[in-house]
Amino acid sequence: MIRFLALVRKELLVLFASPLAYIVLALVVLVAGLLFFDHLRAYNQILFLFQTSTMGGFESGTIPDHVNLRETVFFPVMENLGFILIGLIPMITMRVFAEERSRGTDEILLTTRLSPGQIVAGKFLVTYGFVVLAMLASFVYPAMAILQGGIGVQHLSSVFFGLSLLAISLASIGLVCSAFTSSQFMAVVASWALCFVLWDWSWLTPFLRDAESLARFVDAISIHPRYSVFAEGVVRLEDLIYFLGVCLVSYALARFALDWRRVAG
Amino acid sequence: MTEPKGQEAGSPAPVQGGGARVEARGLTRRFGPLVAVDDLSLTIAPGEALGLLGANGAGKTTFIRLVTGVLLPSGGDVLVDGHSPVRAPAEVCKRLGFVAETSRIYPDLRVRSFLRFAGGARDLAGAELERAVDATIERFHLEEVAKRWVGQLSKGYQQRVSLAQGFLHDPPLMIVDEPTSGLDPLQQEEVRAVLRELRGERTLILCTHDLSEARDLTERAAVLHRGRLVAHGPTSEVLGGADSLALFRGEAE
Amino acid sequence: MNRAVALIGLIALAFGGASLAGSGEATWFSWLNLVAGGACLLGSAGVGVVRARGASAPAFRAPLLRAAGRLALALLLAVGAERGAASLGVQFDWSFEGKFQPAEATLAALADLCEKGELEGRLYYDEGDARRRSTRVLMETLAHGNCLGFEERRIEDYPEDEDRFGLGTSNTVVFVLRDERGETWESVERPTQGALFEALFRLRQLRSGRVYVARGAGEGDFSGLGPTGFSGLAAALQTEGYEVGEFVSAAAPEIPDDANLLVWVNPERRLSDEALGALRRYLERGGRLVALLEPGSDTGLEEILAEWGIQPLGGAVVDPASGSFESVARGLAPLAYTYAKSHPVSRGLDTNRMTFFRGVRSFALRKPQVDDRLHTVVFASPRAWIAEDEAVLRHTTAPVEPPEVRHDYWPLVVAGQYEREAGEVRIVAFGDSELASNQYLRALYNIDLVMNAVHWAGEQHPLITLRPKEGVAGRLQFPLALQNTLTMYQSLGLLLPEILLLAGALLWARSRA
Repeated sequence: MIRFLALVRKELLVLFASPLAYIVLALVVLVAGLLFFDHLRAYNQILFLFQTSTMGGFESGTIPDHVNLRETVFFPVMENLGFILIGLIPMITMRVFAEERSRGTDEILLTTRLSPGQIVAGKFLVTYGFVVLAMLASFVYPAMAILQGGIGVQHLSSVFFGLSLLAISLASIGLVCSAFTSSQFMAVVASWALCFVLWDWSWLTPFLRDAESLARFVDAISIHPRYSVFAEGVVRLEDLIYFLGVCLVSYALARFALDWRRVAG
Repeated sequence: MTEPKGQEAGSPAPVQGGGARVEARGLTRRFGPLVAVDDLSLTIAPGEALGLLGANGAGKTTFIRLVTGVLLPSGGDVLVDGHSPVRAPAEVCKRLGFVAETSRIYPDLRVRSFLRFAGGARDLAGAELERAVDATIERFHLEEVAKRWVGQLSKGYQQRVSLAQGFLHDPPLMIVDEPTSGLDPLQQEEVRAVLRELRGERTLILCTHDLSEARDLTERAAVLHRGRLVAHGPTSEVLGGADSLALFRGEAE
Repeated sequence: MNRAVALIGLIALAFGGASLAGSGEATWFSWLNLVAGGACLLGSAGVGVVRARGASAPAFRAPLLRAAGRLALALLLAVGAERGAASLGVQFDWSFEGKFQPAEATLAALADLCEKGELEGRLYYDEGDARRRSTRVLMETLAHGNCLGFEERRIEDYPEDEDRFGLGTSNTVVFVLRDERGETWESVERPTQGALFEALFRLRQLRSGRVYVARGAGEGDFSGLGPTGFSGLAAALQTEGYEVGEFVSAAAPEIPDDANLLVWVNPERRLSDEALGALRRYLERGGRLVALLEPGSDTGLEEILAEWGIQPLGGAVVDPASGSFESVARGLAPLAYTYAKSHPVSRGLDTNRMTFFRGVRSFALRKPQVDDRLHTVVFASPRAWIAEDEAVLRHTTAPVEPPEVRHDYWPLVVAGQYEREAGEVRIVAFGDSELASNQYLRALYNIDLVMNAVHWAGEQHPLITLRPKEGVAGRLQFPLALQNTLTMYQSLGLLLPEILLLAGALLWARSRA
């Protein structure tokens, strides 16, 4: 435990010593803010139009049900933010393993009393912590506005839960890419491509009309539909386990990368 | 999280005055068609300082990686105090202080934080850790730079930090890989002075291609050429001959 | 080199997939990318395997096998746990309206249809319709643990279905039932759970009985679409399998024999003697009556109810436990949350499932015969009292409580059951009629109370249930002044990232100084 804590401490220091952490954090907050306020502005305009003129068969002064803060602002913002995370999160994860390898510091790590499992777990844990922090920061404005309007803490926490789990699994994919290479460039490009490829497979289903079980499988491994369910305010055990499974498999893959290095050099 | 067997949490490595015994038997390592270490058998007695010599690419670093367990051997075996780095990595790491080549260090950490991490990763904690860090800083004359970022230091200082890291837990086996490469002569002398101090207390494997360094710091020497052990004996004998450079070319015996 | 090839393959695959997903068509660009990407990945995997074999020494086998075993174990564990959890179907509905909680009524309808035949639910959508995911979750929730098969179909891929089901818009659900009668289907264009429930109910093609609605003395209008009309109740009756007919006393001397039930909603004028006589005779024959009254009315209906032991009281119930509502002062529009525990009419209703009364009178109960059963189904809160003059309902200020007034659980809805020689008589009397009007029928659990009263009186006990509720929080519209938005954005949306960037720059500069 002492070793593990020492590693976590070191990872935190290294992470926050790099300007990249602040840049990514600032970008996440900035993008979330931009998205949110842009949608809010559009929403205000629509509201104004509905109140002052006859639109879409609604009498002036009546606002249709689907024009509301939740569906016009909050959900689209969360949807877009989720996708933008694909771009931002690999920028944090790319250096975690690859930098150690390119600097050769991984040999120092491996010759201390830290086991490979501890090394991987420590790095995963710190990255997860950072990613959740970033989500927390990006969640501030939407949450404030929505709480004011009364969306309900439970629903809000379900969305945040989903967003964090999404960020964590994207980070896991990025970490695996970082563990298999010593080049940060390779790591970041591979994670972008992989996250993008795993994001949503639902487009494939029309092509799989005759292979139902394959279509179901393809649907089950996509990340985005799982996130959507949380955004709707439904917490399903299977989605929770799916995200935990992504973490577990990523952990095992990263460990495998370390083991493989002992063989391949 | 899986921990290797036989690792006792919380107990720092015991100090063994005599140092550790390292024994390689038929040690072989291939990378595809390339044989980096070829059927190497070598015994290093406790307390002995061994200079591992050879040209670049002779297999010195591979040998060290096999001893530290960073690489798995393709064949043969290496034992540290009877423990194999493959089967009991924890036992080996407990006895091991490893100093890699220059610049293999975290530039984003302050010297003190880095040493604290190095100690923590070897199960030192609390007052014990602080004592060890203080003692090491004093011993390696790092007081002036203790609060600075490692990346800001000169190469000589960086190498001292690297040595300090490997020495922090007072290991019975110290492996030092090319400690003076890339340093100017003054810095080289600084580092050698530190190593001279450490000599004799523990087993030391010094990997170098600098013959004077080996003469200066070690009592026995082993010369590698293309992964094979071409000479092994007291340093003065191995390097005493007139054409010691021929050794590097693999022309001995 | 090998990894670079794998990377190129991954990038090509990503772009090929994105092109395919974006256009929905397999173009040369997507094919080229997909094929090239797949080939690169396969090739690099092949090279990797060959290399791994080259690197294989007997000494590596055990550690590599261990590592691979760990990997396989993790994969197996993850997939197994996910599949296991999916089959358990545990889920928590944290949505604001609880819209994914399957209602008892919906589940019952599904179970009934499953017994009849094979049921399939299809969601038709256009690409990019965001509403689809909500419908998908709802359908998956409904499909769990019963026979309903759920499938999503892009409309343009199924032109034959478009004609057959008359699909007009994306996000349409079609239920298809195959049973001995052949194939029947129902389509729902705005698939909320309520709409889905109604479609399922229509598929059941139940014949629950014939309801007559009394007309002729200014009663509630079952064809009125406005907020004060009762067209919603008429639709609900039809949805749940009743045929609705009208009884006009001036046109027919007797209530028809095929009536399973008579509904009498708040006559404005005093009823004619003929009408009252017809009702008396109908009840004595073993009739069933659901009567919805209003405070202060005196139409003759009250006298007949009194004959059956249900004496409507004068004045109006004031329940200070209920706050003010819209323009109604505090206490005049009671929210009821106390129900008879064991009566079928109030089955499933509890303190969390309230009903809303817009001005209500109470009743006093006295059994005409020993064996008769008279129950209060809905009570006011224990703080309620009765204002002598129902005119307080028109005031905009809360009525002042007179001294020494009686506080009690005043009855708001009562039900009576009478064994007579001609048959069993059942009467349900409501102290308010507006709770069933279009304006308030869908508020809280009003529709359940009214419809369950109808089912009980008509002896359709299996239909007594709780129906799915539509969202009320969908209307979450608050305008923020544009200036406020801007101020908020400048102070928060930009300041926080700027501080973060400055902190990073400062730290970086210090470490490189």
